[in-house]
This record gives sequence, C-alpha cells and structure tokens, in this order.
Amino acid sequence: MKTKVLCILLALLLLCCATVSAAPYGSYSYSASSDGPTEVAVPNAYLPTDNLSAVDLGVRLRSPEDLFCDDEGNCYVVDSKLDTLYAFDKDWNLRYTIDRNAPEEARLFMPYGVCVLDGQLYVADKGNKRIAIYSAADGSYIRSIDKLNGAILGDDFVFSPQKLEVSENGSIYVVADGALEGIIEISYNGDFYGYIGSNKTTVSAFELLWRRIFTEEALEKLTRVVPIEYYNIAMDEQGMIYTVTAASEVDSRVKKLNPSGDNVLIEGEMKVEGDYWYETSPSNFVDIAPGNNGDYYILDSNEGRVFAYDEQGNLLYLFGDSGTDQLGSFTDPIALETRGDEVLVLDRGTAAVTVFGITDYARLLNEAQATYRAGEYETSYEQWSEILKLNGNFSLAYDKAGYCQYRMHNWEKAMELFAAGGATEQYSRALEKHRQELLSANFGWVVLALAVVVGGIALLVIRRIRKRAKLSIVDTYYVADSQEPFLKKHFKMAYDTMFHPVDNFWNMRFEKRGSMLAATMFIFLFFLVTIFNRQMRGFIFNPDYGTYLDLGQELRSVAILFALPLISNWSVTTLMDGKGSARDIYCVMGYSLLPTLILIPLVAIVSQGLTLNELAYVNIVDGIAYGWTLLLMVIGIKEVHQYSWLKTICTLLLTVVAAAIILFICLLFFSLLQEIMGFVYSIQKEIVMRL
Amino acid sequence: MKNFLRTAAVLLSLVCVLSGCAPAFTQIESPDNATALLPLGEEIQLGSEAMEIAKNDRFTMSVDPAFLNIRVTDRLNGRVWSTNQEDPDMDSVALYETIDLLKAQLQLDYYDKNGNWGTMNSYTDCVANGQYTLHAIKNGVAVTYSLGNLSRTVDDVPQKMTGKRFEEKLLSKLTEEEQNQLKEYYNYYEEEDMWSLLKTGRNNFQDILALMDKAGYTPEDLEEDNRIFGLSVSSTSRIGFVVRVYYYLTEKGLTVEIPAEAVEYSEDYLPYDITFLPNFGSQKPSDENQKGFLFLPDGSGALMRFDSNISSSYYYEAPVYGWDEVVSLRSNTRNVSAEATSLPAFGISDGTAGFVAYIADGAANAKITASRAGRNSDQYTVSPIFSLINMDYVTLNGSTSASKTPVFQQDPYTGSFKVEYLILNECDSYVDMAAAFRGHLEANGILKKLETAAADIPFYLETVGGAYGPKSFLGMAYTGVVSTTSYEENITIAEALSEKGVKNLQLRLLGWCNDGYYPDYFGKVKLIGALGGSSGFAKLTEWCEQQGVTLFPDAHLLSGGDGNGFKKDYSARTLDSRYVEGVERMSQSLDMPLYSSWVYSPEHLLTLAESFLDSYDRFGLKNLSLADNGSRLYSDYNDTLSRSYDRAETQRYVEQQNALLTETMDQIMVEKGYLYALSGVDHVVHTATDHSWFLAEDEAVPFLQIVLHGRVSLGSEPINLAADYEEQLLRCAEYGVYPNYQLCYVSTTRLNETDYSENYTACYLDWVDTAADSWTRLNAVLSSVQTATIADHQQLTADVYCTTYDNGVRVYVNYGDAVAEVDGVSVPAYSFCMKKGG
Repeated sequence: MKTKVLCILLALLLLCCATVSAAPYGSYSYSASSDGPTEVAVPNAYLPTDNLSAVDLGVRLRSPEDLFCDDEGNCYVVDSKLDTLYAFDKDWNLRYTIDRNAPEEARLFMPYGVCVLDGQLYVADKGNKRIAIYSAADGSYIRSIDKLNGAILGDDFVFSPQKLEVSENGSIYVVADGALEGIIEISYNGDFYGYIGSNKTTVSAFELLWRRIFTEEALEKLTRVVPIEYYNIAMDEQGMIYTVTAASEVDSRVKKLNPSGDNVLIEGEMKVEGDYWYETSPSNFVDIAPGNNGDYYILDSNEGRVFAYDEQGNLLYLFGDSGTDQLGSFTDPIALETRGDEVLVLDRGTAAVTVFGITDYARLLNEAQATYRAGEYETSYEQWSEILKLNGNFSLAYDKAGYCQYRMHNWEKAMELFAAGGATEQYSRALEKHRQELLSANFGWVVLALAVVVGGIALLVIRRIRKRAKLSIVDTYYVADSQEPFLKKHFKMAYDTMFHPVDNFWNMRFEKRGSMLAATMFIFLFFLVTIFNRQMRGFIFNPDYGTYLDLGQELRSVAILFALPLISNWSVTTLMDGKGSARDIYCVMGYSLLPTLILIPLVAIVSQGLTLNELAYVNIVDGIAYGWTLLLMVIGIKEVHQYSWLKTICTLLLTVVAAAIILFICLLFFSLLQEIMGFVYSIQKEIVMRL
Repeated sequence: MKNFLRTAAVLLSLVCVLSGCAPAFTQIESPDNATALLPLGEEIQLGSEAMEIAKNDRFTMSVDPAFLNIRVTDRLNGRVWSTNQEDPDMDSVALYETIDLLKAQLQLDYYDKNGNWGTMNSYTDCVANGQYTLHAIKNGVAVTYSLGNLSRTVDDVPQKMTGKRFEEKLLSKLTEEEQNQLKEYYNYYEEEDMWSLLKTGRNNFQDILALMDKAGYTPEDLEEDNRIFGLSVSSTSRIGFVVRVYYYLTEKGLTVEIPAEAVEYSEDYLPYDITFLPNFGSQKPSDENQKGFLFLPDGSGALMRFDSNISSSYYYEAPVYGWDEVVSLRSNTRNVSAEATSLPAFGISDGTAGFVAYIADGAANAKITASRAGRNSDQYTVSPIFSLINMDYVTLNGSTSASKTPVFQQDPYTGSFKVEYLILNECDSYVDMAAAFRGHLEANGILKKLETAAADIPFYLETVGGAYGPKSFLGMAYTGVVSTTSYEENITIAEALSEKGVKNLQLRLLGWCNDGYYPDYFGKVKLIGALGGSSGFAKLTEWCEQQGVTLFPDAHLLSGGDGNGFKKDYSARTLDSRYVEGVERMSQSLDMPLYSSWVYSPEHLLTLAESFLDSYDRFGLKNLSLADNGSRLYSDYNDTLSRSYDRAETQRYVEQQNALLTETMDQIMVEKGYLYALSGVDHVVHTATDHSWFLAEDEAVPFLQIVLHGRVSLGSEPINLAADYEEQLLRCAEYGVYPNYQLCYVSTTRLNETDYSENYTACYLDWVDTAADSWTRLNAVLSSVQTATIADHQQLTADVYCTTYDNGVRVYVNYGDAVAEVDGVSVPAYSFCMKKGG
C-alpha cells in the first residue's frame, strides 16, 4: 500500500494539467494463449492530450514527412511539398523556417528526413540529392554532403537520401532511395564506409519451384526478388540503430542493429509484428522511436497505432487509432518521436501533430521496469503486483513479478506467477530450484520412499520369475477360465497380450476368446486416459494446460482415431484374403491399448514434478507407451488375418492410403454439401430480394 | 401500373402546385397523429416584401419571399432568429451550388430503386421555381415545398412507334402541315413497320411535345409505346417530392414540424433523409460574438467555441441515442468508442442570446450535425438530419461474381419530425441552455424534481456474479458457469465496504442468473447453482433488507443470448433479413464483435417483460436494473412481421416495456439514460461524464448533469475501469455524479479466464480502500445537494472548475498540481472541496 501511495504522490508531482477521463479508442493488447495471441482488454497507457494542426502551429503544412525532437525538446518538421523546414521550441513556438526564400545554397527541395546532433541540423534533402547541414540554433547554412566518396559505388549511383541518423562518433546513417544493399554509413565528410544490415528477402519453396519450371519470359513477369529498402531509422543513446521496413515479405520488419550491422533484436514467442489479428493487411511500420529502459515504440500507418515493446520484444501496450474525426486517430501517420513522457505522432494526412500523454498506469510500468533492470527486485515486485491489480490481463507482469520472486528465492510463489503468465521455461527453472529445496529438506524421507519403491518392484519381479519357473513351458500365455469375472478375465488377457501378443491374438481370432465389450471398454478407458493426460500433465509439458476442455471434441477425435483405421483396414484386408473380421480388428485395437493405459497416466502424474531438463525422459516413456501399443496392433493384425510379415506391411500401407481416400471423400462430400447449401441460400436470398 | 398511377398522381399534384390550384392538396392525407397538427387556413400570397405572418406575446414571425426565409423576432431583445443567413450571396466560403444550399430550408437526399444517390434542396429545386404554397395556420405558416424539375424532357417523347399507332395516335389528329413537321423528326422503317425518333427530333423535342399535346397523346400512350418496344419505363417516372413544413410560434420560441406521412414521393425515388433547417440561427464569427458557441449533445455535452482556432475541416455528426446496430454494423463501423447522445438537444449562442433546440418527435431517427465556420459557409451551423426510409445493400454472391442490390425499409416512419427551438433572450453559457431545456422537459412532465433523498449519496456497486469459464469436476475439466461473486460473497464485499464507512449502498447484480454475464434469454429467471442457488440468493436478499442495502438485479430485456426458451423468431432482423448481431464487446483489432447477442424484435418486448415479471415475482424483490432499456435502441426490418420498425417505432415499444416495469417495480435503474427511457426511472448509472473527443469540439460540459441532477440519481461509469480513476473521481465531484465500481469477489485472473474478460481490474480486495475513500470524499461535497439543481457551472482558472447548486452549495474542483485559491477557498491540488452559502 505504501508503494501505491508513493506512486500516486509521484504521479501527482509529474502530472500535467491535461484533463482526460474517457479514451477516444478502445484499449487492448495481446496475451499469449494456446490459440496464439489473443486480444485482451487493458487499461489505457497513453491518452491523446493535444492535436496541433498547422493552424495551431501558425505555419503552412501540405505534406509533412518527418518530425524530430532534440535533447532540449525542440521539434523540427520537414514538408516535402512546400520544400520547407520548420523549427519549433519545446512549447511549439516557431523559432525559424528554412523555406524557398532561403539563400540558394540553403534552399531545400523535397526534404524527407531531419535529425539534430550537437547543435547541427541534418536534413535529407532528397530533391537536391544531398544531405544539407545547418546550425540547429538559428538555421544558418553550414555545408552539405552532395557526393559520396567511395570506390565501390560505381558511376551510376545516385545519392537520394530519405531518412537519416547521426551517431555520436560522427557517422551518418542514411536510408536512401534505391539503396537496396542496406543502410549507407558515411563519414561527416561524405566518405562512404559501407552498407550495413541488408534486408534479406524470404523466398518460399513454391517460388523456388516456379523458378525451376518457368521460362525466362514467365520469370520476367514475376516480381523480382530483391532486397527491400528500409523505411525509417532511429538511434538510441547506446548508438543502436532501430530500423523499420514497410513491406511484410522481409525476414523481419523491425531490426535493432549494432554498429557493425548485426540484428540484435530480441523477440519472444510473440514476434514484434504489430497487430496479430487484422482485417485486411498486417501492420505497416513507418517509424520507430526508442523510449526509456530499452523500450521502443513503432508506428503502424494502417491502423494508426503505436506499439510499445520492451527490450525483450514483449508488447507492453498500444494506443491510437485510424480515423479522421477523433483526437488520437490518424489518416496517414508518418513520423513518431518520444519526448520525455510524451509520444508525438505526425499525421501526413491531416498535417497535424498529436501529443500523447502518459497515464499513471504506464508510468508505474516504466518505474517497475526501471527497478527491475536495476535489480531492486523487492521494490519491483511491489510495483509489478500493483500493475497486476490495475491490469489482470497482463501476462508479462506475471512473468516479471514471478522473476522478482525467483530472485528473492520464493520458488513456489514464482512458480505460481510463471504459471499464470504462461512462462514455461522460467516455471521449469523455478520448479527445479523448488524440487532441490524440497529434496534437501526431506532427504531422509525421499531416500526411504525410493528404497520402499525399489524394494517393492524388486520383490514383485522376483515373485514373478519364481512363479513362471513353476509353470510348464508350453502354456506360457494366459488361458482364461470362463468362471472368472468379466473384468478380471479381460484385464488379465490384455495384460498377457502385452507380453504374448502372437498367442493371445491367435486365440482371440480362432478360439473366440476376445470380447467386443471388453475392447469397447479399453477404448473408453483410453478416452478417459487422454482426458486425464490432457488435464493432469505438468504445465511444462502440456500445450493444452489451462485451456477449455471440450468433451465432445475429445470424444469425436477418439472415435475417429479408432473408426478410421478400423474401416480402412477391414476394407483393405477383405480384398486381400484377410481372415479377420471387423470384430477381430476391433478386438486387436482394444486389447493392444493396455501399455498406453498404464504408462500415460503415470507419465502425466510424474511430469508434474519434472523440469525441462527431464523432457527427454518424458518423451522416451511416451514413445514406449505409444510404440508398444502400435507394435501390438501390428502383430495383432498380422495374426488375425494370418498374413506374412511382408503382406502385413503391404496391407498396412494400403490401409493408410484407404484412410486418406475415406478422409478425402468425406471432405469432398462436406464441401460439396456446403456449396449446395450456400447455393440454395443465395438462391433463396435472391428470390426474396428480387421479388 | 400501380407504380405509374402513383407517379402520375405525384406529377399531377406537382403540376397543380404550379398552377396554384389549391384543391390538389386535399389529396395529402393528414397523418394519424394529426391532433398535434394545426388545420390549414387560407392560402397566403406573398408580395415582394417580407410579410409578417404571426405574432404572440413575445415573438413575431415573418416570411421573406426571396427564398422563403422565415424570421422570428424576439421582441424582448429585438434579436432576429432566421432559418437562413441574411445574405447568402455574400458568403465568403460558399460558391455556386453551395450558395443555393444556404438559401434552402431543407435538403432531401434520395435513392432510386437501383441504389443511386441524389439530392435536392428546397431552394434550387423548389423555391427558385416558385413551386411552393403557403397556408396560414394558428400562430404560423405551413409551407408546402414541391421539389423536383417539373418541365418535360426528351424522355416524354416516344422513341419508337408502330406505324399503326403513329398514324392512329398522332398523325390522324394533326393537320397536314403539322404531320409533315412531325415526320421530319421521325424516320419510317418499312421492314419493321416502325417510326423511330431522329437526332433532329431529339434536339427539337419541345416541338414534338407541342404536337403531342395537340394530338392528345397521353403519358399512358407513351407507356404503351415504350412497352411495345421494350424500352425502359423508368424514364416515365420523374423525380419529385412534396414536403410540408409547419412553422409556428410558441411561448418559448419557434416549433417546426414535418409530418413524415405527408412527405410524398414516387415509388421509384425514395427519400432517404432530410437535413432540416441547416442554417437556422447560424452565426458568423465576429468581434461581437467571440464568446459564442455551438452546443452539441455528445456524451455529457460538448462545445464548439467560436474563438478557438480549430480547423474547419473537422465537423461533427452523430446519431441521437447511439448507433443503430441493425444498420450501422456493416455500413458504419466508425466511432465504436464514441460516447452516445442521450439528450436530443443542440443549441447556438452568440455570447449574449441563443437558443436550445429540442427534438420532440422523431429524435430516434435523427442525427445531429454541426460545422465550423469555413466548411460549408462562413458561419457556424448545427442542425438535425432526419432519416425517412432506411436503405442498405444486400450482397448476392454468385460462384464467380457478386452483385449489390439495394434494399429499403418497407414501412416508412409515420410519426412526425418536430423540433422545438427554445429561444433564449439571455444565453451566455450552456448552463442557460440546460436550464431552459430542463424547464421545458419538466413543463412537459418528462422530468420531475426529486423531493427527498437519503442522508448520504448512493454508492453504486456492480458485482459480476458468474460467467462461462473453465471448471473441473473430479479432476475432469469442463466449461460451465464459474462463480466470480457468489450470492453470499456479495455480502462479504458489501460488509468490507461498510466497514470502511460506506453507507447507502446500491448493489447492482450483473451475471446473477441465466448462466451469468452475457446471459441467456430472460423469459424466466434461473438462479445459478454455482453461485449458491436459491438458498444463497435468499440469504443475500434477506441480508440486504436488514442492512438497508438496495438490491438491483440486472435484467436483459432487449437483448441476450439463446437458450432458456429463446426462439429465433424473437430476434430482430436487418434490412437484408439477417439476424441482428447485438454487439456486446467489439474486437479492437478486427473491427468485429467478440461477443454478440440476439436483439429482440419490438413486437416481442411486452411479452418478454410480462413473462420475466412472472418469474421474477417469486423473489419478492421490488427493484430492478435494466441493462439495455436506457442504452440500446435499434430498428427491426424483419419482413416476416406485419410491418417493419424503425428506431422511433421501437422506442414506443421500449417505452411501453418500461412503463410496465416501472408500474410493477418500486425502483428502476438504467444505464446511460436515453431521454425517452427516463420516465419513472430512479437511477441512471454509466452516465457519460465526457465527450467523444471529436477534433471538431473544444471541450466537454456537464449539460446532461445540469439537466438531470436532482431529477434522477446519477451514477458514473465504473471508476475502476476509467482511463484515469483519480481523474474520474474529480469529474464525479465536478459533474455531481455518484461513484460506481464494478468488482467481483475472485481475483481478476480468475475472472479473466471466463468469457467476461473485459474488466481488467475487478478484484474487490484491490479496490475496497480506494472505493470507500472516494465515496467518503464525494459524500462530503455532494450529500447536501442531492435534491438540488445545478444553477451554474464555471471554469474559474485553467485547472479549477466550480459547480454551483441552487441551495447555495458550491463545489470546487482543482485538476491542477498546485493548491488553488479561488473565491476565498483553498482547493487542494488534484482534489475538490465545497463551500456552503453565499
């Protein structure tokens, strides 16, 4: 509670006089779930506080292209249609203008980008094919970089700078029109250093195939596979270069390049790609801006949204909307800047700058991240818990709070939080620590329990070996006594089948020992085991953990799992002189299930206490369970049909083909049915509407 | 044929108007509710000068013949309010056709049968050609506008005729000279025995028309000829409309009315909407009216100030009573997050005088639009747009192609469109407008002043009982209703609040029956076992009775899920016969509903309410909260019903349902509180306390609160869900709105596993302290003004607002981060305080 009061106090101190209460756009974010990212409701992180149109700014704007805020908070806007640069102070009063009335050498022609460093103003003067440099204080012309000095550039190279950034060490990074090789790095004098971070294009397997098959002319018509130019560039205090690419077919639309051009962007399971769900096309990133704590903001021009990610590539929040008539909505947003706690968006469509102010919620989030980075886990935990109170839909906060707890060595609490946040790996690590702690605390008991279990198993094995020694060699398999109760009889039979499949299946077929009812029972048990496994398997190994269970769906899939092979195998073997009837195949399937029925629940229970390190064991036991069952079935099929091994394998392959055909026919039937229904529906609709 | 006759009738009446023959108007049927309409008196002939038409104790009305500009003079201050600006030709913004729009009293948009849009206005298509008549009525004038081009065109000339008919219908009746003249325009093709119109004929169709008239060739003959050759018959139908507008003076100002049924049209051209008096009282910004503003009913109310320099490219347009889900979902997805318009009012002030307009009839079919000076003209304007015949497109999908067919509302609105302009001789603030509006509603018996109130302000608490989510039984998971606040857990939450000092708790139960939040059909009430069943519910009701907590179980009587006896027949349908998707929650990324519900047909509403009351009776509860009745209005175009219902029709049925419920129940609570739903209602929660942040608007004002405070008890949107809850609290203090929280017993995480994941901060443990604290703070300033009227609301400094009540209490709210000293009161930073007396 103390922290909360502190936060509120802090918020009060920092609060600007903006009066906001309801937001003009619905606030949402994405949370990871088993069906991929899901839209969830969240509190507002940023709210628009002001819309500065050309009228408000007291200037003329027609097609503003870029916005830049320097360290003092001064803002610069370039307009490509008016060939003008406007310099504003931090309160948006006009300081100076560089327009068509400037001296000839200072005059701009289609400027697209602007950047300020150390009192110098750099403008990407695209029309004049140069970088023009001015004094940021008064806009007086200093010099320009017209031509790049570099041997490898070739004679036909035209320098047409679009966007630019200047680093502390004097390098200028330029996104230029037609420079497909990447970002151009040049010195202050215009010496060409090289290209960095070329965009790779991804080529699909299909395209490669076409390229093999098609003629030269046909290929000409296909779009050429060339790297795609960067759209925009930004640089953080560490000198890391953030880039965005508007096209969606590149390997990654957002990059964080270190000075040598390697992409060091970290992405989690949910990629940095803006909206995961969209109506028509994916988010189209046009600008990027670094924020506090290694966060960065990306501007999507399709839906007019700003996405904020943390250093780890987790989506923190998003805000803004497309539209024309409400504050905080855009028609053609083109540039994004951060200034202290403000986020500024320049809309080319309405020629206006929208100022977004931070809310208490996002402020708390920033603080929690800062303390987290500083290693103050206890404070940070308090803050993350406070965030969770304000936003129960924020899985990242669970993870972070969990990690704080992990660092504070509260393993169980950490596990609980990781499970809530869906962080498998971290959960596994916390579980490992927790297990270690439990083991060392109860070492005596654990050893005792192990001894009892091992001893018990050993005893059973010895007894069995002795018993077997007494039996005659001829009659090794179990022969049911008709007097025995049904359940006992058939379980014993299935158990014996596990070890003597050949004899037992032969008996089932030719001595009529098998029972349809028992087989049905085993299949039903298998169904129960599937559900048990789905629900009880440890969080780490269970992709369905915590998701809704649809009993009908599960039942359907089990039914198909058995019905399809049954029908297809029966149809194939009937044609191929199989001796077995459908009933026999059904019995084989049922009685073969016992290994799965025994092992899978065991794995499910034990997996609760296992970590990712033991994943291999879990997989092995799973493999044994299913493999054993499958093997029994194959042997069973061979026996009941009285096939040779070769024929068995052939029929099994044919069974697969038959199953595929059945599936295909079913699908065809359903899709035809759907077509017909759609047809009838549209006819009916047309009749109703036209008459 | 019927089509043609109707067209012919319209044509005939148009022609009669032209020739000034009055009896033609006996054909206009008077609308059913003609009681409100005044009988027509004598026809008035205008001279060349403006003519005084009516006069009462305060106002004088005159008509200017130039473009039928109607002026109302307020003799208290000599101010003239006019339907049009005085000199449109000198407008610095409008050009050519748009100047005509400034001279018009109404603009009519229409669609033809193929869905092509067209527009006409009362100047270009009527007054400019003299196609109008005026009749005296009591205190005013009825103007009949006949819109449309009445002169005949080349389409009225037969394109092709058989030799026999050409001879019979034309040649035989003409002199030889005339016959030769006619033959010059037609060519005879012997093979087909056909006369065909030549290009020379096309160019001289006036001559042919004269000859046709002489020969007595009738429109029926033309249709016959066109039929013989399979020519398009649509050329015989003409675009024309007759609209009659009643202008009359009342004690408070001017009332203007269009009986919708008296709007005449042909079946081929259907009137879509009417922009009505687009320029009434329009203001050109100047030095004198710098303090002027437009008032818009967006959310709690919003202003467009004349002295702000917001770009004129932004304009305002919003429907009254929210968007129609039946029409808007596909064709209008904009502004899902905009505030709804609860009061059908708008106004203009020039800083000293002004008016507030009240849409008394047909508000549910109206939109309100406003423009800044510089958009359509050099003036600030605000006006209503009334929808007459709704239209939508059906997409018919073939295997390879798709085509769009327009569909139209079957039964047009039969009521009237009535706007009452309450003219205020002193109006320097929206407070004056709100006061006049409130007074008018009270005089009409729509609002009633509260006489008594409890000692403390109410604390509204919404608890989420249950929702569908994952559950487990014996280790087996399944989906079912998860209890998020069981009946008895409500008691725990309530006790936690009362321990912190909260009194006068109004407990609203959401998701308490019929399978929880997003409930099933409410034909009968089924308590939820998981929440404690009937014994748990009995304990809750008993406890509430003992502790004086008012219990408001929430009922969905306009929309809901299926199940529990729901039949698809109950559902409303769109123009293209689809069932309506009532949007419960919108996906932000996909622009489609995440959750939708069935929306019930108006015909079904009473039956549902009766059957619900029968079932609800067993709890012995006398209070009820209604989820939709005050916040949802839609149309129903189900063509299997006897008729279609537009929103104004639906409104009547909702009112009936409300009447039944308010009769049976002691206290009723609604959301948002659309004006028509307020009669008999005691509590309105989710009251708007902000505008929609339209760029065209300058600021939000508490118009809604000034009108309603002291008439019904107003609760806020859930404060825990506000974008900034501290700020929302200040807004509550400023606007005189009581606190409302939406909480549940379980953790937010647990709640969010269910279908209802919209509340991202719900756990009561996280909020009890803050909530109790906010109630205590608000109670300190608002408890003494519960029955009072807001007399004034002012912005004192950039951050400090003051609300004055008529019992002398002043509430100061400081949004700034420093202590403010105003009126000898020191208002703490980011807080509020009150002062009594003086």
